[in-house]
Amino acid sequence: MKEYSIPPGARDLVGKECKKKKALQRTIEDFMKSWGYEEVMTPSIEFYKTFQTGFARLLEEEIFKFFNNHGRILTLRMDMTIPIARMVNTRFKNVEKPLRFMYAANVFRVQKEMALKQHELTDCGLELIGKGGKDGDLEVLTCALELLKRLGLQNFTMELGNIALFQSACDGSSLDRKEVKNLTKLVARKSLKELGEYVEGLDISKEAKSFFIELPLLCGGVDVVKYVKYLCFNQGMEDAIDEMEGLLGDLEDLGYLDLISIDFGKLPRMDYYTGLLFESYVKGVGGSILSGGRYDALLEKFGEAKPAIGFSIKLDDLMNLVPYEDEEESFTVIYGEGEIRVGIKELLELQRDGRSGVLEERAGTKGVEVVSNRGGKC
Amino acid sequence: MLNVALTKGRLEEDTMELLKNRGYGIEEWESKGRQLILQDRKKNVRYFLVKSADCLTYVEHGVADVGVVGSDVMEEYGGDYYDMLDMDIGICKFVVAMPKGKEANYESGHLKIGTKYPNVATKFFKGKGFDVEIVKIEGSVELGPILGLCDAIVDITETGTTLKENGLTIVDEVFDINAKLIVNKASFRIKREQVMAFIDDLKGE
Repeated sequence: MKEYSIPPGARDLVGKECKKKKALQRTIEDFMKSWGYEEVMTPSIEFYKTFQTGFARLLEEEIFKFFNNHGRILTLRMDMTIPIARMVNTRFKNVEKPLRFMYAANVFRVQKEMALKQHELTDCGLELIGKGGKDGDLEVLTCALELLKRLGLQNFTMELGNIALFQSACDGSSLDRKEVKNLTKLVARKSLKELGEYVEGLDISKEAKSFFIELPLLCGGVDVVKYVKYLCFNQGMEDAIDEMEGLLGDLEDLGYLDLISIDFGKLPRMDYYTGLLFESYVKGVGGSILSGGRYDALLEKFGEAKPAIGFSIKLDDLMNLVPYEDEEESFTVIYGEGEIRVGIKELLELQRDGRSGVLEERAGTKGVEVVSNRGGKC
Repeated sequence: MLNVALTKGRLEEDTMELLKNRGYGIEEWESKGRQLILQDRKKNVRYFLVKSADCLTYVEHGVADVGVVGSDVMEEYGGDYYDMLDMDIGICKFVVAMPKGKEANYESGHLKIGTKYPNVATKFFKGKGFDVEIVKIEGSVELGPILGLCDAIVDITETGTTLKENGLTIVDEVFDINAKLIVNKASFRIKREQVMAFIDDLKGE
């Protein structure tokens, strides 16, 4: 006998797991739609070049690639932000007013095998395109906070950062691309010792040195913002801090401040971000469950420049955090030998009342019998 | 409770010694048999004893909040975690070694390199622009060049004694190695105070 299996890093979902995932996905979708976001579906297959354009530092080995019959390189999409940015510049070229899109789609990434990682994950998220500045930040951030509340997650925190602080510090220190890349890596990994040694060797001001060295630990409660203010050494950095203070004021007013923490050392791998960054962590998941940020520089790579902000939530990780009870009542329609037509008629009747059932032949049954999964006949 | 993954062997012993000096209650470890999970008697800390590469896996998935592991293993396997403290233990270095008398072959032509660390070796020789072929050897790497499987090895050495005893000389240094404390990204948020206190204790502040 031949046995067929699936590749490592892939999985089948059946039964209750499948229902749970769908139900969670529906909750998220309905929630996003209630904020006026419209669903989009883009193809699973994109040109490799689209992703190469979107990510300046695309890791080639992380993306599934194949060819079409014209010899062009195709990929399975590795995220949804890039395809939406591409789509906006083709289908919504001359639209002035803000665009609000949401998606729930599978994305693909080549992962290390046998490391509890999946090549295919469901990403649910939204993008607000064409609305810059603090109003857009506040809308999307509030939406993310409310979504986590809606999902019933306990004790989550939303951590904020702003990549503009780091970028302005780099610009103000006239660092070259390689130096910025090295700094990004060391700060993002919070490699305190190596960072210290690397920064000491750079030809930059004393203020800049102490800022970069402290950056990985510029995190914690919202009070850290006041401290960071004293480390700023140019206008761009001060603007980033002012922006953060303004946002925190708004969040306090809306009653979210106790859910907020700060990490200015948050430097994401995706290199299209330009301003606010946010991530949520919950007990029970080793990485972030939700992440997002402002990416005003992405859209122009595909044509017209537009400010944009968005976030996505990891549906697959939520599966282990959120309880689920399958509450739906279902029925078995039992019919006697040769009586399938009567059975089908009964099932159709049941479905007209918005119920669902399964057909089953049972010898000796007179006519049809409808039995509920909760016991009892009807 | 803070969950600490310790790399079994020398690092485990050196870390425990350090923790004992910093006022941790490691009595359970001192009298352990084959137990792999140990509770601290004074602090709210639990230790797991794991193999080095597994330390990265446990920390990355957040099963352990922090881990003590050698920088050699981090360099070889990579992974997604914070790398927050360099410790003064587990100090040794990666070197390239060849049979005595054949050193002259090092920079000339194609080399076959035996190693337990193929990623480290590949990266190192790529950086130097050497034409090499890597062969993965699981243990007793020194045997490779002696028996003629390869021309040189990339391996860890503390004093160079084992290499010397097997007739090998160091022809190049790859990088220095020491133990590091790595931290899970979510634990850094959720258990920040415990994580920072543990780091400060290891630092001796």
